Amino acid sequence: MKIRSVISSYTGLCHSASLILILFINTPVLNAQIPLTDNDKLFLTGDIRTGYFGIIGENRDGSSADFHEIRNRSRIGIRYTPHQRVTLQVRYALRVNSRDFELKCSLLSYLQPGGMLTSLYSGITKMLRAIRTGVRLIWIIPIHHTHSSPISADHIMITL
Amino acid sequence: MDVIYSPDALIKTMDGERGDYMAATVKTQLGWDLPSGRTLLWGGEIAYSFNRPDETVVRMGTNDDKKAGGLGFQSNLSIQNLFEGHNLGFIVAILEPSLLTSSDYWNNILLFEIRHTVRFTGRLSAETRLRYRGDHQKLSGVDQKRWQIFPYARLTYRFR
Repeated sequence: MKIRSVISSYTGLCHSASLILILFINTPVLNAQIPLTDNDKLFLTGDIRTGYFGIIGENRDGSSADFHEIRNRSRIGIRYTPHQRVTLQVRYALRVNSRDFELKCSLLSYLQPGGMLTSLYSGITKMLRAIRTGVRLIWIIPIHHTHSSPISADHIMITL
Repeated sequence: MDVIYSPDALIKTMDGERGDYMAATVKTQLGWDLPSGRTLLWGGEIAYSFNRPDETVVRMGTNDDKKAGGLGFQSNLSIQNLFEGHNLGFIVAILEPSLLTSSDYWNNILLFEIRHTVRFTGRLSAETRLRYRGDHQKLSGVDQKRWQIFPYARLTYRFR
């Protein structure tokens, strides 16, 4: 039996969501990447995630809190590494769910004048508004420490 | 151990008097590498907020002289590689009203969760989760405790 060290990067009960994600989602953090050039400096990155999300429950006044939706998140971006210690990432993320499109099972609703087009236009507008852009700069600074130092580290990583 | 200090973040009385928020959490994680190739992880955490609002501020009672509870507890168990590529996790958490948590969580919460992840290939993975969360204590002036069950299932593909 091995007892692991208690060093933890998660932020604890006061930010329990982070804690749970780190403990239980064991999928790799790194995204897939495609080299765009032969020199391994420029990569295309991204992923697609689709799933069902729902709530079944009751509010404090006894009313129903139920809802169900299909969600999709698509991300695409570029990772540029001009130097082995410097990385620049730009990424676009689009999130959309089935409720954005107000999908109706009734055929009659689509046969009404403008019914389908209105729903489609509204959904696309919401999608475009939901696009998020992320820019990140990672800079790794090597450090030199003496053997007597109580801290064993050979670099500092700065992320902006 | 984490100590969280947020100046002037707490509304302490119904008159709007504000105060500093200060809380501490202690957490640990133990891991066992089992001979079968599986890994068992157990984590536990206790939190306490030192500056707490009156019960009336968080609608837990009618007594201005009594402070709302500020204790939190969380425990989780995770089995990695239950079957090849399959991970399974369980969580139970109780947070009293004075603990300020992330926006994804409520205070005054009772939570149970089971989560499963599977990696089919290096690019394709799936995750399912069933979470129950409800009011830990019933608020004054409401009909009942709020409760919700969140099912979700999602598939992620990382393109290359």
